[in-house]
Amino acid sequence: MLRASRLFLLAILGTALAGTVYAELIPREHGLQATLQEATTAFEQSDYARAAAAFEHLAATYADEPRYRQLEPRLLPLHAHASRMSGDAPRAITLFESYLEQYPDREETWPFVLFSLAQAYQENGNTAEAARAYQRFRELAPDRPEALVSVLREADLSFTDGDSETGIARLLDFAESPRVPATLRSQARLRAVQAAQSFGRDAQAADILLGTHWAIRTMPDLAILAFAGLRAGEWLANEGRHAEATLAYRTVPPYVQLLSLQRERLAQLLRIQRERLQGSPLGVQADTFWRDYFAGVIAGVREELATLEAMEDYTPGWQLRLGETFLRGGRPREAALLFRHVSENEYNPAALRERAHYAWILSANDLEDWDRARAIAEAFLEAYPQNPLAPEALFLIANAYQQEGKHTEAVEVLDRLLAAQPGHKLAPRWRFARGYNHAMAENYTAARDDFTAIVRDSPDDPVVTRARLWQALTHLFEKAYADALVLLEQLKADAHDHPLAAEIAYRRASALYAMRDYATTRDALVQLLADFPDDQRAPAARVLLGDALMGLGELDEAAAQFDRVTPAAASLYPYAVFQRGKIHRATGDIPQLIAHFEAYTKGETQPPRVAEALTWIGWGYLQLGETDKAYPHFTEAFDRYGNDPHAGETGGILRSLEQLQRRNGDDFIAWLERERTRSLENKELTRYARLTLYLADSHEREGRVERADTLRFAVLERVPPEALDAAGLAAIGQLLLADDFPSARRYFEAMLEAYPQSPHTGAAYYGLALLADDDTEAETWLKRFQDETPYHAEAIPVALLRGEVLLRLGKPEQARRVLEETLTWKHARGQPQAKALLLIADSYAAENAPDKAIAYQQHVYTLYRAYPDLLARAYWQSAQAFLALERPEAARRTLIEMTGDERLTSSPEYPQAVGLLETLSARQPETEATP
Amino acid sequence: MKRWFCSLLLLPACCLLANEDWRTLDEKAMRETLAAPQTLVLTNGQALRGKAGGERDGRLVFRQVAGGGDVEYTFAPDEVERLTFADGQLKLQVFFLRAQGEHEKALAILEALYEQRAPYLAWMEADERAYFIDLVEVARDAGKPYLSVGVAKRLAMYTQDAATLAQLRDMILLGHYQLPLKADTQQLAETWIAERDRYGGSALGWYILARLHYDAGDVAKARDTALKPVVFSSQYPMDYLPHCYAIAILSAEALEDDTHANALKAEMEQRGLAWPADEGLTRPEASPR
Repeated sequence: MLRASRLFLLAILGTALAGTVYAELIPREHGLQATLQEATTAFEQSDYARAAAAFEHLAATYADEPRYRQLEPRLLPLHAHASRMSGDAPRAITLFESYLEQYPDREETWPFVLFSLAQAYQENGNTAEAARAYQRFRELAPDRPEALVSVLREADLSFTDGDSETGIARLLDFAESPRVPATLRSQARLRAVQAAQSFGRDAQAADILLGTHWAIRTMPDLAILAFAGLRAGEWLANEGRHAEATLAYRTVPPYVQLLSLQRERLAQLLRIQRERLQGSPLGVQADTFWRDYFAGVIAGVREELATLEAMEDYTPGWQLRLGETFLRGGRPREAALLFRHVSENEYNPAALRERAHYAWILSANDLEDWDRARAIAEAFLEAYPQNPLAPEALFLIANAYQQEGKHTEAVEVLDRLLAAQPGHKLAPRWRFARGYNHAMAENYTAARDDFTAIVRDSPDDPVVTRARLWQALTHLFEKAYADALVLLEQLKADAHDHPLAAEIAYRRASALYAMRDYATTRDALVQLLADFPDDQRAPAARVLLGDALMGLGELDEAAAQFDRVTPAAASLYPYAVFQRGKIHRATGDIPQLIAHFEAYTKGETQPPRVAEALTWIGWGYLQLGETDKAYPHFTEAFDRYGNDPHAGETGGILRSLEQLQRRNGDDFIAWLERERTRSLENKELTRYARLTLYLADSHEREGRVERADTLRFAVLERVPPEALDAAGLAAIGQLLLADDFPSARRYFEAMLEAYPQSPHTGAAYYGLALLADDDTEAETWLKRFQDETPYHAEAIPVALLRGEVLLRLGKPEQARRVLEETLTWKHARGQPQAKALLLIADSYAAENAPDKAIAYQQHVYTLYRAYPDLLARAYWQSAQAFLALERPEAARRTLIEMTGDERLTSSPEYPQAVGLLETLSARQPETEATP
Repeated sequence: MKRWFCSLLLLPACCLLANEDWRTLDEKAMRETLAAPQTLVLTNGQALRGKAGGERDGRLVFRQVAGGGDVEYTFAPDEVERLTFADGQLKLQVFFLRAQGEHEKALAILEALYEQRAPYLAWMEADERAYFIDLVEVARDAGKPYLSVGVAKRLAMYTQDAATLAQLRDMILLGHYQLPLKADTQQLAETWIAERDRYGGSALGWYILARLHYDAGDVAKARDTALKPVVFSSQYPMDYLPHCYAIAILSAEALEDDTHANALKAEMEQRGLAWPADEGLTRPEASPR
C-alpha cells in the first residue's frame, strides 16, 4: 500500500510540475515557483515535514492566486499526505475533508483521498470516522486491492476500541472470502490469532490456530506464527488438552529456520534492489523512490534479523514442552525422541538438558522399555548427581526392576536410595516400594518391617493406609489368616472413607473365607456390595459371596449371586457360570443344568470354555438316561468346535464319546482312527491333533508308550503350533522336553502367548523352568507356576525343584516356606515329603543351624525308611551336622545305624560313612548323651 | 515434476493452437534436428557454427565446414562461454507427449537428445543441462531406474546450484530404492539424513530408510525411523512427510499398537496431510472418531 500510494502521489506530482502549468509559473510567480519547487523536492526526498511546511506556506501565501487555484486540486492531496506523513494527522484530516468537499467530481482521486483520510482518522484516534471513511472507500472502489486492506484496517479499529470480538470476527469473515488471495487470508487468520491472544481470548486463539492448515514459508509471518503457536500450545497444555497442544506446538518452526529464512529474505531483497537500481527505466524520480523504498524495507528486515539474532533460541524449550505434551497425551515414543534430542545437545542450556533427560526416563518408563529406562536413569545420575530429581531417578530405576519382576534388584536400589535420602519427603513412598518388592520376592518379614516402619514413622503420609493393607497382605500370603484378619479388622475401622476401603473389605472377607468362616464371610461381602456396589472389586466380591454361600449350603442364594455376574466381569463370568452349573448338579436339577449351559453356549459370540460347557450338557443327557440325545450332542459339539483351537478343552467330549461308544460295544479306537484320517484329509489340523493326542494318551495308559510317542511326533510333524490348543502345545512341548530338545521352548512360549488363562500354562511354566539358562530364570517360571497354577498336576515336582533352586540362589528362608507347604499336602505323602524334609534340613544347614537340620533328617530316617536313597542321605547329612555341633559320638552312633542297614551299602554316601565311622571310632569314647 | 508442469503452463498459446499431432514420433525430423549444426559461443563473444567432435586433452574439439573440407579447432574450458544444440520442435514435443501420458515416446526423444549431448554437459549452460532432469523423471516413471539414476548421477557431477543438486540427489536416492541395491540405498539414505537439515523442506531420506526397514519386515525400526521427521516437523511444508506418517502408521499397525496408529492417523488428518498415493502404501481404515 505504501508503495502504491507513493507511486500515485508521484504521478500527481509529475502532472503538477509538468507541462504548461509548470512552464507558465516560472516567469510569472517566482515566489510561488520557488516554494512549489521546494515543496516538491522535499516530497520527492520523503522529507514530509519540510514538504508540508512548504505546501502550507503556498496555501497561506498564494491561496487567492488564480494560478494556485488552478493547481490546488493536484496540490491538496500532496499537502494532506505530507502532513499525515509528518505526523500531523489533524491537519491531514482537514485537508483531505476539504478536498472531498471542494472537488466532488474528481472521482479518479477520491479513492486515494478516502483511504488516506481513513488512515489519518485512524492515526488520530477517530476510530468511528476512520471506519466510515474505509467503508466509503470500499463502496467507491470495491475492486481495488486497498479494499481488502481496508477490512484489515477496520479490524484494527475495533481492536483500538477494545472491541476484540468484532475485530476478530471481521478478520475471520475476511479470511473466508473467496475474493481474498490465499496469502492475505492466511495473514488475516494469523492476525486474528494474535489479537485473540493479546486480548486474553486464548481459547478462541487456539480454535483459530488449530482450525487452519498453515503452510507459511515466509518471514515475518512465520515468526508471528511461531510465537502464537508457542502461546497456544502452552495454554492448551495447561488446560489438559494435550493432543491439541501437540498440534499447536506443531505450528512452531524452529528458531534456526526463522533465522535462515530471514537471512534469505534479506539477501533476496538486496538482490532485487541491485537489479532494480542497475537498469531503472523509470527516471530520476522513480529511481529515488525505489532507493528510498528498498532502504526502508531492508532496514526493517535488518532490524528484525538483528532482533531475531539477539533473542534466545526458543527451540530447545519448545521441543521440551512438545515432548511433555506428547508424554501426557499418551505418545511416549514421540516424547522420547524429543527428550533425547534436547538432552543430548551440549549447546542447549544445562537446566533444559537436565529436565529433558529426566523426562526421557519417564518416556522409556511409559513405553515399558525397562532396560532402556534403567540405562537412561543411570546416565542421568552419572551426569547430574546433584540434581534434585536424582533420588526420583534412582526410584525409577527400582521401578524398572520391579516392572520386570526383578524384585531383589529393585530392593537393592531402594536400599541405596533410602540410605542416601532417609529424610526425603518421598522416603515413605520409597519404603513402601521396597516393602512391596520384598513381598513380591516372598521376603515377607522384611516386607512387613518396611510397612510397619511407615506406619510408625510417617503416620500422616498418604501411603500409610496402603502400607497397613500390605502389612495384612503379607500375612495372607503366608497363610497366617488370623494375623491378617486382626490387621484388616483394625484397618477397616480406620479407613472406611479411604479409596482402598472396598479393597480392604474384600481382603478381610477373603481371609474369613480362607478360615472357613463362611457365615462371617457372607455378612462381610453383603455389606461390601451394599457399600461399594460399583467398585471394581464388586464382581469378585459377588463371586466370593457365591462361594461362601455354597460353603454354607445356601445353594439357592449362591446361585442368585452367580446369576448376577455379567460378561463384563471378564474371567470371573465363566467361573460364575460354571459354579452355577455345579449348583444345578448338586441339587440334581439336571434339566436346569442343561438349559443353563445351553444358554451359555448360544450367545452371539463364542464364550470361553465353550467345549467344557458342551461336555456338561452331554453329561446332563447321560444323567437323564437320554443317550439318544447325548451321543449326537457330543459328536455335533466336536464337529463344531473340534477344529477351533480357542474353544477350550475338548478332552471331556472325547472321554464322553469313548464312554458312550464302549457302552454300546462300539470300537472307539477305530472311530478315532477314522476321524483322524478324515480330519487330515479336510486339513482340519486342530481336530486332527486333538484326536491323535487323545489316541496317544489311550495307548500310553495301556502301556504302549512307543506307539503313543509315535502319534505325538506325527502331530509335531503335521500341525503347526498355531493350530494346537493349549493341551496340544503342552503335550508337544513335554514330548520335546523329554528328549531335551530346546525347541520345546517354542511350544511353551506359544502357549503362554495364545492361552494365558489356560490351566495348561502350568506345564509351560514348569517346562520353561527346566529349560532355563540359570536359576534366576528358573525361579521366575517356578514362582509363576505356584502363583498362577498351584493345583496343576506337576505341583509337587515343581515345589521340590523350586526349593532346590531357591537354596542354590541363597534364599533358604523362602525355600523352606515353599517346602513346608508340601508337607501339608496329602497327595505329597511318601517320597515327595521325605525329599522336602531333606531340603528343609539343607536350608537350615545353609543358615548354619545344624541342630534344626538334624531334626528334619531324623524325621526322614525314622518315618521314611522305605526310600533307601533318601535314608542314606539323611543319615550321612545328620552325621555331618552332629560333627558341626562338635558331637562326634552322636555322629558315630548315627553312622553305626546307617552302616548297619544292608540296603544302604550301594548308596553313594556309604563308603564315606564307613571311612568316617572308622576315624571317629579310633578316637576316645565320648561322654555325650545319645541322640 | 513441478518445474515441468510450470513449463507446460508457460507454453506459447500458438503452440497449443497449432493442432499438430504431437503423439506421432517423426524419426526423420528427429534425425535432422540432431544432425543440425551446433553453436559455440566463446568467452570473447565470437560465435561459431559447426559440430562438436568430442574432447581431447581436456579441450573441446569443434569442427567447421570451410572450403570444401573440415576445419578443426580445439578450445580450453576458459575460452568457451557455451555450446548450444539445435532443439527444433523436439523439446516442445516432449512436453506434449508427457502431458498426454505418452511416456515411452517422450523417453525415446529425451534419450536421443541426451545421447547426443551427454559428452558435452560440461560445456553447456546450466539450464540446458538441467533440462535432462526431465529425462531422470521420465525414465523413473517409465520403469527404467538404472537409466534414471545414471543420468541423475552424471548431471550431479556438473551441477553447482544447491537447489538443483539437492533435487538430483533426491532423484538418485529414489531411483536407488527402485533398484535391487538395498545396501547402497540404505547408505545413500543415511548420507542424505546426515547432510540435510533436520528442519528442511524434505523428509525423503528418512522415508527411504524407514521404507527399507519396513520392506525388510523390521517394522519396529521402520516406525522409529519414520517417526523422527514426524516428531521434528512443523507447519513448514515438508516433502515426503505424509510418506513418513504412512510408514509409521503401517508399522504401528503391524506391531498391533492400534492406539499409536490411530493417534498418528488422527494427527495426519488434523494437519491436512493426505495419504500418499504413490509408492504403493496401502491406506489403512480411517481412524475412529
